[in-house]
Amino acid sequence: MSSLVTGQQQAVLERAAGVLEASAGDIVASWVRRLQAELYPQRRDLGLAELRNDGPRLVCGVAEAVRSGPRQEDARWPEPARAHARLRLAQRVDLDHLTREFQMLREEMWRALAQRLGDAAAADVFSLAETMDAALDVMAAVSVSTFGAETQQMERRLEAARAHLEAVLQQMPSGVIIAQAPSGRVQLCNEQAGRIWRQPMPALASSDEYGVWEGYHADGRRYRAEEWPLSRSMRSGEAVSREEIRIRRGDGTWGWIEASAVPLRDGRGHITGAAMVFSDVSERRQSERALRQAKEYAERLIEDANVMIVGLDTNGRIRVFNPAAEELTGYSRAEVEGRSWFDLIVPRERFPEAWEVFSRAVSEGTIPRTFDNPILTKGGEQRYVLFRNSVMRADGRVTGTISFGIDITAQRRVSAERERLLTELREVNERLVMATGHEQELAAEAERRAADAEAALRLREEFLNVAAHELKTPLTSLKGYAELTMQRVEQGRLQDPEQLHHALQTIDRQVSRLASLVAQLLDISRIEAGGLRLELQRTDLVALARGTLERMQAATSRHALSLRAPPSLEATVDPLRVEEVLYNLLDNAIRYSPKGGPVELELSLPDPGTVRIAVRDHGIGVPPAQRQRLFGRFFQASRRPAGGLGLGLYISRRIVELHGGRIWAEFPEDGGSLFVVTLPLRRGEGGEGS
Amino acid sequence: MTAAGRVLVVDDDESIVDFVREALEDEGYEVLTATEGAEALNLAVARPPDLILLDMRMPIVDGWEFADAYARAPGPHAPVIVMTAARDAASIATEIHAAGYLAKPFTLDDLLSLAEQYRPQAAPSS
Repeated sequence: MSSLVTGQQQAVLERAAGVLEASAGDIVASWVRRLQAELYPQRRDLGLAELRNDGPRLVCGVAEAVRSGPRQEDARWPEPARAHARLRLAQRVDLDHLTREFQMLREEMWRALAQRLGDAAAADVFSLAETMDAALDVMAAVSVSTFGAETQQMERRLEAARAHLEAVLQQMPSGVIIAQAPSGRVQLCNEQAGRIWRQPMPALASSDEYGVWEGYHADGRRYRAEEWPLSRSMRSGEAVSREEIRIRRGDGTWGWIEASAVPLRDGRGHITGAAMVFSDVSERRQSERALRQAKEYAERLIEDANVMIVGLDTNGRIRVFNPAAEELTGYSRAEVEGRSWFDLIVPRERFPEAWEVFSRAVSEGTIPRTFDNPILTKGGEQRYVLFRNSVMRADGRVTGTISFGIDITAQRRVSAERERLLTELREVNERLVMATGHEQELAAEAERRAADAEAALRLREEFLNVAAHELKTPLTSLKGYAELTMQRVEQGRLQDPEQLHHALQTIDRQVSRLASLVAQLLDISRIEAGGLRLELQRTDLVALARGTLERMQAATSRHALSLRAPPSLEATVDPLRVEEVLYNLLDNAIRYSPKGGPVELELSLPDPGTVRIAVRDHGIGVPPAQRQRLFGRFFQASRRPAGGLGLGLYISRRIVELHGGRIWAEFPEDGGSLFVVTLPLRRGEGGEGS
Repeated sequence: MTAAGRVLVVDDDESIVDFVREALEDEGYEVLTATEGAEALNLAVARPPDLILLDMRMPIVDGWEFADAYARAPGPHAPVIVMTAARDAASIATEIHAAGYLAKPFTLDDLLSLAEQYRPQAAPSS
């Protein structure tokens, strides 16, 4: 086609090139205005100012191409186009826009040519247009082919970075929403955002739609679309930090988010979008609220309490001091706050104990739950306060103490009075107790006596039973033999003189027995009345013993009674009474040897002034438990009495004691009993006087 | 000679035993005697009596123990009459399930009419 260019056409092209070069500044100015108005109406600064400097070179480049005709191989043509494309792409203009810019420049150039060349060029306009278009197309094509690959690579990298960014954002614990400026179209919304809102986030195409997010101000007003941090950052570049928004979630529940937003800018500082990051602070808000409420409640309590409340730090400085404390001490909170409790109110030099308690609380973390100590009021008055204390801790460390105190001055006064009264009462009480104790003693004594009396009564009852038995038994055989003998006489059946003798002998024995019992009873009454008298005379004890023994032997055939003694033993005694003792001892020996056996009577002189009388039997003895009562009244060794009143040993003891002697019993290993009596040979020698 | 019946007399007082034995033998009774319970028990089992006259307060085995042992002994049981000087003779008799009692001192008549009362019916006196 270039070969078809005629001389006339060449002239037109020359003129056109001249026009372009001459009016390059105007063409560019007009072009830039159009770009701003048509291609970049919303964007203020896309390097358009630089195009005013650069543009003329581009126009001149095109003019050169026009002048040289359609010689596409000319390497000079594309150079200004390449430079322009490099510049624009660096300014973040994409290829579409770049192509459009070239088209618009061509249009401006055509307009300039149409004005300047006029009709003269009309005939050749076809050729001119063809040449110009070819030049510009080549330039655009070169630009695109040169930079397209580079741009695509960059876009791929950008895409990868964007994917990476998105992945990161998806993983973030906070909700993230990124929107494009100026439309406000949401480009990215991570999953956490949906979780916080408890609903899928709607794909919003414009910031006008942000109103669908249901958020409320602290005063209850709903967030309008343009009030959302995302919107504000995008429009005005505001960086929003930690704005708390009450939200109504997709499931109808209420929560709180804390939202921050920043504008996103390009390399030249232009806002290209905005990002909003927000987290769910519902729980924190709740606990904060609970904490705040608790704190308010505690503060109210401290303020309103009618007990003194004092909080001290670990140095004893006053940190809490409520109105009741003000009232009690006379100090205002402002006067005492930060000052030491132990300088001002409980001076440690005056009340060292309180200071010690406090020091221990701080060092050991323990404090007496209650503690009362005096305090000094502002007016210098001393008052007593009962404190209830606690050690305060934070993270296990002692941070101070808190004490609740009530004024007990008045009570103390009353209590001192009460203490005095109590002491008095206690004394009275003690006297009473002593008196009562005495009374109790008396009662116990009375009881004891009653018991004794009862025992005595029982003993007496028992004695009466025994006495009855002992008296009735001889009476039975006495009476029986008397009647039997009389009957035999009456019936003429009494033939055997031996029979009669036996009967009379029995009668005689029973009479003696009765006489002896009666004598014993009389003795007892005398002893009880203190009227037993001895009739002392020189007596041969051996003769006395032998006589007694023989009489006793006559009454039993089953026992063998024996005597061992010196030929004679003179002593000053009451012979009847001593005989009574001998009789009792021998009688016992016989009675308590129911199976018979030997009974030994021995008289000896263990020392020149004393005679020893011993009666040994081999009978049933006396159980150990009963030995102590042996010489008491009415004693019998078993409930199977071998007869007798149980008075024998008692009477014997009294008789021996009246003689100034002793009587006791021994119980040999091989059984039976040994009763021993010692008597002084002369009255008053080695024994008690009378 | 034994037609009047056999009486066991138990008393630790020999003079009473003698008197009762003589009185009953005069009336034709056969009389066994013992001075305490163990001996009496042996006799009662070896030669069962028709009547037992029993003193209570005795050495070794007393009247209460004898009555208890006799009640548990095998064979026929003769009625027991308590002979006692105790003031509560009747209650002692009840206590040991005795047939009756003779309060000491008793008369010859008391003794003989009581023995008559327990004389075996099938053997009238000769």
